[in-house]
Amino acid sequence: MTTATSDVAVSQALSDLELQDPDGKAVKLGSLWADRPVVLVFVRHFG
Amino acid sequence: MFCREQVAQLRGHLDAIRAKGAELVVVGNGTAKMAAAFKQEFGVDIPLLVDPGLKAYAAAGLKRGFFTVMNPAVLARGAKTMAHGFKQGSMQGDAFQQGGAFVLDRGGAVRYAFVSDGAGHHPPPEELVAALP
Repeated sequence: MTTATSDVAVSQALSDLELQDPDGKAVKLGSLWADRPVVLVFVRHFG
Repeated sequence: MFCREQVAQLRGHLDAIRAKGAELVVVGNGTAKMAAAFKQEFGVDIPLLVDPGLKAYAAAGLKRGFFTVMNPAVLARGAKTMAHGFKQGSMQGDAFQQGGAFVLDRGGAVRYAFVSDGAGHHPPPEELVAALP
């Protein structure tokens, strides 16, 4: 669990990042929650 | 083994997440090619993203290190997971990066945060669903 202050920092830091979808296309994380809530799960690895 | 079990658990809650008008997004630390292979093998119909540079893991404050992978609690969880029939697939990506989970509002406010202490330490999917608006 994190504090309310660092939650804001986490959200801002994540929103500007771009990751890749399985086709290699860049996806801006902030676009995922622009118009709906999101459950964002970080797994350790695929496998 | 842990991540297969985790994704299987999450899939079981996908309907509940979508019923609340939300989406489930899974981030992994391998390459796009690994995610494509995983998606095909597992038949996952949820959005997958990859973060080979671990920049999102770092931004989210997630843990990384050898002792988060190998400690007595992890070994005990591994035995339990194998008893449930989940085997480890070939390891893909950075073995020392730990996971976590966040529930974000529309607009990005964090409603729930879970930082994994070690392999096999996952947030209960019920808590993720309950944290949705």
